Amino acid sequence: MGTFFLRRIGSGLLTLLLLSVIAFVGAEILPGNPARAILGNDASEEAVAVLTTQLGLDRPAPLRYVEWVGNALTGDLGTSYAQRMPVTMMLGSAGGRSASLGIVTLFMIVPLSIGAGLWSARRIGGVFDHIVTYGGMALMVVPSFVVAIVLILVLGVVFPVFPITAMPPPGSTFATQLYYLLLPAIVLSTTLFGYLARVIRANALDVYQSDYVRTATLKGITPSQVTLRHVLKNAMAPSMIVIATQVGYLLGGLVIVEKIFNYPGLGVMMLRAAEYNDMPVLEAGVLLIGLVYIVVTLLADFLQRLMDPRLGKAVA
Amino acid sequence: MMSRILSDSKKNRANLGLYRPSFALIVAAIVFMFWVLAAITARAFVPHDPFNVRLDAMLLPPSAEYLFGTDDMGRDVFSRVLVGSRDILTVSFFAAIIGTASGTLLGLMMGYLRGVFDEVLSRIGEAVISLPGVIMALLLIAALGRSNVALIGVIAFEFMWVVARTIRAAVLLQAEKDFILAARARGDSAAYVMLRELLPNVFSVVVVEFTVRMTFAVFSVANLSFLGFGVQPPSPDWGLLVAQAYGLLVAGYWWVSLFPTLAIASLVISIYVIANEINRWLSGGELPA
Amino acid sequence: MRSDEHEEQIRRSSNELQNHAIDELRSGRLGRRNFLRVATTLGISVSAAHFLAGIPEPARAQTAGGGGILRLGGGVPGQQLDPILIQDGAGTMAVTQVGEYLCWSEPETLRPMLAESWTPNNEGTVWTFKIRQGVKFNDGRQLTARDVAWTFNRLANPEFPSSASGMFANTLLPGSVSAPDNSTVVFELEKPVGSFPWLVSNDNYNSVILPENYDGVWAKDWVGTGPWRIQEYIPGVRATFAPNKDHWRGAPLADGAELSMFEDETALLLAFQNQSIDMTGPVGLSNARAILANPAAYKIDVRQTSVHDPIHLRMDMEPFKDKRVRQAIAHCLDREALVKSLLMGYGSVGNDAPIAPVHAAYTSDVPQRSYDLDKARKLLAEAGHENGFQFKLTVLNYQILPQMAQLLQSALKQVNVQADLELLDSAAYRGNLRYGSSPMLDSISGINNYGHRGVPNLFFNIQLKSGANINSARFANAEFDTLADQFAAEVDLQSQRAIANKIHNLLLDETPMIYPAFKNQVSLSQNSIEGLERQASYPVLHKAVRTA
Repeated sequence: MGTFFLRRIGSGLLTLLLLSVIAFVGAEILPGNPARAILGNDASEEAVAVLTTQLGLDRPAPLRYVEWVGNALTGDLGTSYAQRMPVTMMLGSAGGRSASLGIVTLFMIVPLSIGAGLWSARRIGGVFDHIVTYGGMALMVVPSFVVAIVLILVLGVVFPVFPITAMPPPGSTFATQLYYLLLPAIVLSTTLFGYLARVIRANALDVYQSDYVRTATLKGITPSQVTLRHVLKNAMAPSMIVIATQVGYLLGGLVIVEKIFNYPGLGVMMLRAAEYNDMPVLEAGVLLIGLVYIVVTLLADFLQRLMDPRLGKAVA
Repeated sequence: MMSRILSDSKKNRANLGLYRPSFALIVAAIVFMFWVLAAITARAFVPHDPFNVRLDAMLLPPSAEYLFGTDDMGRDVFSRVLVGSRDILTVSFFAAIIGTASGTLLGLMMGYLRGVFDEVLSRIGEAVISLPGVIMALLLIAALGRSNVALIGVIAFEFMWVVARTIRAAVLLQAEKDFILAARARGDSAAYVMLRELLPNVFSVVVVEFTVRMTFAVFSVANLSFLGFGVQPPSPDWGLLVAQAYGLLVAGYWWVSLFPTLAIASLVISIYVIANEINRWLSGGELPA
Repeated sequence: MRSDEHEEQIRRSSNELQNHAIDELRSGRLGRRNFLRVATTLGISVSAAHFLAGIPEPARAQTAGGGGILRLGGGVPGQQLDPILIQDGAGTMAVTQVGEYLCWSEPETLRPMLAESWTPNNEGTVWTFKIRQGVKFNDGRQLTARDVAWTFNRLANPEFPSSASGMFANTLLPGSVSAPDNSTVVFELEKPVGSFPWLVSNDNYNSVILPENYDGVWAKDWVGTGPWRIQEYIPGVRATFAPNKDHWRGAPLADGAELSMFEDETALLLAFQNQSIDMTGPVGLSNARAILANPAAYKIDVRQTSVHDPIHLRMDMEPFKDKRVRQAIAHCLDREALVKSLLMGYGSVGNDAPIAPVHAAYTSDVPQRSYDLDKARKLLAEAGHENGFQFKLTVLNYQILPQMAQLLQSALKQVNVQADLELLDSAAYRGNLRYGSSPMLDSISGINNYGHRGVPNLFFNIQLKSGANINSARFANAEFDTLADQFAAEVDLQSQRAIANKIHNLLLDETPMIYPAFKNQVSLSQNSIEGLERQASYPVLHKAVRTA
């Protein structure tokens, strides 16, 4: 078990290193000159040349890569070309906002899917089961913006119950902030709802059919008590794993949802950075997203392994 | 993918009975065929030229003449949605087929050759997969320029690594079987073993993988077009139509973005249902998300 | 005082150039509106200019009392917030709440701001500005002429990395701005520039006056002389401002202001529609469609500008070497429809020269290029292209440019010309702005966007002169170059117009670029906001209050 963990952590670190190369090369080959992008069309050639030197862009790329990685290891991700502020600061505030959205999403999706999964498991083949299964499946494969457009139309325009931008006015209370995040969180939830509900449902079926529950029922414990005590308990871990394995999906959806709901999180920050040739921001963003993915997947692996050591054999 | 493990473990669970396959499949097949036909023939029979700009007919609501209304350039949304199926289907198909083919080759080699080759490529694959497709596309498409070819390339590249991982895992299950060991003992060349012995045995996995990739290709093309990295104007591509028109939604011009939105949903769901059915026939399992 | 006595007094205190302008007005060669522009450029005061033109001076907003927090909505600045780096409306909107210029450009006049008055010498080569006294920076320092001189000497240095480093090229050398005393700044130019004050106004939005030797991080200190001081700035999200009680126009009336930055204009306009934003800077027309359709519900501020989106045609590449082909393409653009529909009437048709109706030198007697597909076919046939051809049109992905490209593309199809569109975001479109590595400069045909300039010579210099920085069409015409130089040096409006007329006809015939339209800037505020002023289109909140 210990060596498995160490091996996984090691390969995670290696993946991160490779990712840093991808991020650096990816940002490097973006068209356009960062100094020119900062100064605009009216700036003189001389000024652009001076700024290029100031930014250190006149030095060879491999050297800059090594420096970048070195600095990143000490927690210094450089300075944004466009905004001239530490990338860590930008990443912190944008990442924080994305994290808030992510957390609201999780708090919404977990109870919803567990509820839907459990309910449909109680009446297999019933109307509700069909709705959850088909609806969940449909939502799973439909791009987030499609769901967002429909929800904005219904809940933002026809019945204006939700604000359709995610950024609350300044000085808002916690409740208001939450209210502003609800609609985008619903959209993000849809990507995982169907899948999670199905896993919960299958899990619940297992538990319902287990000897343990049958004994409990014979002892006169009502089905709802069974649901609460055992099924729910057994459903938490798998749902965490499912969410963890699908985190890449969630992160991808974030870019789109943030754009539609005008939410200045990580996704929007990276779209901007790509547009304005802001290489340090783009590189750091890629790295951060990759890191989140790697760490969460790693945790899911460990969790799964701890729950059911036999499963480890399936992973080569 | 980790989710595969979950679905593998589910495979053993009896009687999932999620939906009535025949009915869902029929509906899905009809929808899918409709869009394929539209992609091939719609240019010929749509009521209006989908590219004809008519500034005197801007943003007309749906009517008998313009079934889905007109967009902010006075073009017929109905005609544009029908014709718009072409780019997304073409790009998705090529991205899925190239991604699956190259991924299969890569996976065969990784699974059969093992060693350093496998180790290095596995790591690279993991690094690529750890980035959401949107972010990868953002890096690559900006560099390659925006075109359908670049779009196909970027999506296929992403898919290649995902497919390679699945095929590699399937190959590993086969590699120790007698007929492979026998082939090795006979001294057959690696290429021969991979293509003649291994490939036929993992082919059902390849087919399933292709159908799944097709679903995700449609998903990706729509997303990337929406973000502006995908199909370029004046193509009436659906993602593009929505991107250009969602700002009009609140102004009450809902028809310009709603119809392409529904088109994307219908296409991607129909392909997913078909993929799911194929997967059932071939391996008896449910598809992971 | 009798009015001719007043005029006599103004004339006595005016120099030769200023008196000449008054003569032009009196002789009827200069319209009254145009006189306002010319007179204020030459340094005649705004009230004197209005008096001479016989136009009542617009009452400056007078509102008393009221309070509350004013809520501005804008975009997210693409650059760090620093006066020397801003390039976009979002940055200008944020910076100008705190920073101020020597003068500000209004539709018809240049209004004094930190400069109280200005006068050129008789050749237009030396411009002397009187700096307002008693103005304080928000860090407590007094504004002196030395600050102004330092600000411009720095901007004039082509090697200093500022967005404006090309603006003063060949006009103002670093070190040629001096401050002989505390209230006087003298600009010694390399050549006569009749419209020089526009270059130190907010037209050149990087010329915010900063304290001498300032080298801090502006986005942190927000140093300036303006009516607000920064309270908190969350980059890319929000800036909150407190009143600057020491402002030279007195303390602002409102209790505070906050600027919310929206990634997406659609979201900004939604926020405006549900009243969570009080006012905006200029907004995109297609996004604002719903608001503009309901003009009574909001205050809509419309300003004529010279903002335009020219389409270049590479004159050194086939098939555009032949001017008949270029003219044919120009005939395929339905400008009336473009202005009416895409611009919703907020603009005026262009006539294939960067001389806009808002420019004083504009004359309306140049024949308008028509939308005429038959003529286009005929011209193409004469040039041997009756069967048409195919070319790539590279389009900056900004506002209505893609739609305009599609309008042209759709019309070109009718004359058998196939235009393949490629959309590029700004950084990709610009490349590094060197010939050979920039789609903006190298594409065979492309559509670009230019912001407002009060005088057309800035467009001549950057787009059309041989060897100009952004001569995308590769226009090289000795006659044009001479005319453009003459135009810039000329201080007399009648002569300027005569030259502009020649330039206009020349460009119309050569058609290196198609100038489809000049756009108006449309900005919004709620009906409940009173006393709002604007500098260009950007809200000035000094006297603004929320009523109701």
